[in-house]
Amino acid sequence: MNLLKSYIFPRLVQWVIVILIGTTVTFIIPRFSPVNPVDVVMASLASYQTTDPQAMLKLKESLEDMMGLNENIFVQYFKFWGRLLKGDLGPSLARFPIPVIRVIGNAMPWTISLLLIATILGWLLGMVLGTFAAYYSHKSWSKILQVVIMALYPVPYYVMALILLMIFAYIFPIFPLFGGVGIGLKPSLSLNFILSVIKHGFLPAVSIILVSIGWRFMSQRALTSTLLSSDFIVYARIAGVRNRKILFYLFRNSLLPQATDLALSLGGIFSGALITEVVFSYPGLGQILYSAILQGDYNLVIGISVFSIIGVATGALIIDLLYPFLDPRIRYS
Amino acid sequence: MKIIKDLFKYDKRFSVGFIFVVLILFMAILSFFPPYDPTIPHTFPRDLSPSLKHILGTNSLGQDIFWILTIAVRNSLIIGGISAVISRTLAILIGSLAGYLGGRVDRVISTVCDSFVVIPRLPLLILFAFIFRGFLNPLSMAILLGFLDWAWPSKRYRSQILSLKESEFTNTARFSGAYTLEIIAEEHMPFLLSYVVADSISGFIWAIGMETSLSVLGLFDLSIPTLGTTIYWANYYKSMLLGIWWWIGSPVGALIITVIGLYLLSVGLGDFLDPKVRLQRLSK
Amino acid sequence: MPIVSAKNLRAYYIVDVYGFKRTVKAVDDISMEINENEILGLAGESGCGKSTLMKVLLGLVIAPLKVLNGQVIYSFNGFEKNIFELSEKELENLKWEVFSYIPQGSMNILNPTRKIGDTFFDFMEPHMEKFDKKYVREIIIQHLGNLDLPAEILESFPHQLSGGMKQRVTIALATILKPRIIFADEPTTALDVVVQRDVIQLLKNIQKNSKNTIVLVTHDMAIHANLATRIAVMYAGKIIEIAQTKDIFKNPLHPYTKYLISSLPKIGDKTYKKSIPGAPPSLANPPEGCRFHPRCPEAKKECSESVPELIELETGHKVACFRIN
Repeated sequence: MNLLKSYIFPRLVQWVIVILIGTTVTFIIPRFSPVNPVDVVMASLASYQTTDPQAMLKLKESLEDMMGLNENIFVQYFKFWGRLLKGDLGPSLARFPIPVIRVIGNAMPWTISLLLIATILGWLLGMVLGTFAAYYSHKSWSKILQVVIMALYPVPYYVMALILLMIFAYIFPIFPLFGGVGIGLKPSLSLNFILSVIKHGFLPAVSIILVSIGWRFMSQRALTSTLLSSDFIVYARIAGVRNRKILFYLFRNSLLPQATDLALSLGGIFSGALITEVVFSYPGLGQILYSAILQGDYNLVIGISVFSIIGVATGALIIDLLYPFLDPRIRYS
Repeated sequence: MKIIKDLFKYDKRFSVGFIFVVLILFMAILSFFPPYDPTIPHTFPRDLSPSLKHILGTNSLGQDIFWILTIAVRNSLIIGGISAVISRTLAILIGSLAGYLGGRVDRVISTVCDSFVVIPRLPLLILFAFIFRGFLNPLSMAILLGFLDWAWPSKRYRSQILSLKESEFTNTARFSGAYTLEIIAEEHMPFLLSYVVADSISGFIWAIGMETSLSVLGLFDLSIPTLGTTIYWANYYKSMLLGIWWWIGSPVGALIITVIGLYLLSVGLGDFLDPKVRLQRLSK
Repeated sequence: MPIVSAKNLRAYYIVDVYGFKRTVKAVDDISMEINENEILGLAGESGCGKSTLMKVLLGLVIAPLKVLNGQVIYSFNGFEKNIFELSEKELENLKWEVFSYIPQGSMNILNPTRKIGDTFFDFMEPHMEKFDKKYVREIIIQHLGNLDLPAEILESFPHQLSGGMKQRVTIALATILKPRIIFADEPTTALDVVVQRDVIQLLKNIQKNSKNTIVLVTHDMAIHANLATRIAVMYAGKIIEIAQTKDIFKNPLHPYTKYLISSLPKIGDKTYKKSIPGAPPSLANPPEGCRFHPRCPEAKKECSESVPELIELETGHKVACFRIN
């Protein structure tokens, strides 16, 4: 009961605040637009020679609700939220007349699975390597590892993806150049399909992992070095507690700060995943965002912004809610 | 000067970073003295591989890649620099407000900061750049980036200030009658300043990376050479598929040298300026 | 044969950052012996090197601390070896079974994310041939019972215990394998007075029951008077006087020891307490000759020129001072 009041409730409030701030910013940005988005989209739609007047009407309506400049800004804001809560963001222009929400829904599973795997692996690998590198800091492999990761860490996601693509898909064509699955394969639980998905997702995942591992490794190494001089670790070492136990102590005690840090860095990793998807033409949110930009699809760009904010905030919330399982001090007080 | 010499001698990371950054700065300076206007297309034969005459070859538009790159490096550095100045100024202001005022102000600011830290910035940036497509120049891009990168550093400055506030020398100064502003200026700033320098460099790196991402998506004024737009054009003309590796490779290489150089510099400086290490040097 | 004997120990902290070199001579040419079945007190002001000396005796030499010279010989049951020449395996075997260590009361010695019981298991496991949890648990509970600690604490996390309780758990942890020597570094510092008394009593009982050796480091002369059977006084990295507790208190010879003793409050004594003039010297740059001479009221010319040796005057009473010899 106490836990609920002192820990879980504040997290939920924070979650609501994040979404509120994020969506409000998303709402405000288009108000500064130098052109009227409704006119732009309707003009470009005219060249589509579409024969579905009802879908066009829907598009116009949604654009006016979300970006129209005719009404009072508070009325607009109200309408914006009304649309959001109904999950109706109007049809997409890039994939006209499919609703934005469906376009996003189709891309979501790709992004979520790629991100989930890459984030967890990157986090664990960074922590394990960082702990070992700090514990055995005098060994030469630890120093080499540190130099390598130091060179990887500041590299932007885009460049990392591009280099991997160049080396492993272009110069040595081990992996496919683009896509999320082999051409013509239908989603099924067949081995063929799954293997193809893994093969296509491998390089994007590796490039996300390589960049996100950098920060995790550095911070874990620093954390472990501090922990190594903490009283209880020094004491356990004086007492001759086994090495693997000490390593476990180090790992276990850095789990807490690293979980908080992961929740906070989720947004950065997500942004990186978007860019990585573009480079590999991976069929996730990044890719549809790219096509939305190319085709001036306002509804879709806004939809992706809002959904990324909600998604990342929820991811961070889930990590925060797992925290009490990691920390006895929160559980028993 | 002595500091740089010492760092150079004792910190390998710093010396590598220093060399990289000097290299990049040299390129940026060269951009002011081009032998001809490198942005004009079809000055030279297309797709020449690197040679003595064209160190980095020419591209499919018949431009010399090296001289284009000097401008690109300069513009990217300008964007990164202005953005870092803006974001760190904001961050110091916000972080000090939260840290020194404390209480309710601190709680509100911290909640807002925590929220902004969680929000993924790239989608917002893309939305902004998308709406303002064609209206972005290096300056407005830098301002935009600067205004999106204050949350993390504010949090860090706040916690730095909190630990300084609770430190022993602050109490000593307070009990001996110093004014708050005096304490901040004389006792805290020397510590913070060193931290700000190292942290600003990471802001620099972030802004350069973001500019690249946006440009590659075609969301920046593509007629202005930056590291990002150079990569965009190389991609646009399918330089990789056509085997013109020097076109795509040059900006990517320059970008890597820039970010790694800056990063190593900040790590070296950060360790050097670390108060704990400094105390050891002072107490000699 | 003493159980531990140190010969000409020299251990310095050598720091080198960005070319700024600094040497702190924390242990400077110390020879001493620790006997079985005694409580040896190491006394001296903060920063005189007593904690460092203890670490070196434990073989706990971590950079920037370096042993430049000397030996620490452990001898018992026919075992006789220099701790610095032991293999890693041999050293592991000595730890906790032969010597153990109780750190300062203010420290966070217990892993905050581990139950006390598991910490006990972790500490004992390397020293058990067959690790049977149920059997080991019984040993622990019995040991806790001997020290008047409830068995329930095994299920608690450290943050659920009070400071005094944590320190008693630490003592239980350090004595669980019945070591021959227990090194205690300021075990009562940062505890309140009532808890201090409990902890002192606990240490006294442990020594009485198992007839082992305790080496006790503290700056608090009152605790030494209470607990120690023999006292070594350190000043600026050197031992300047060593004797039985009653000799030190009744007949202190070194001027520094006299100051230490006279600073103790006595019942009924209303005289003004003199503090020692001057400040302890920096170990990075100690004075020439006898290190105490700049503060010594009885210093002679000789004192600033050469270093006095630690010389045995009566049986078991050694002192390093030119004025005495």
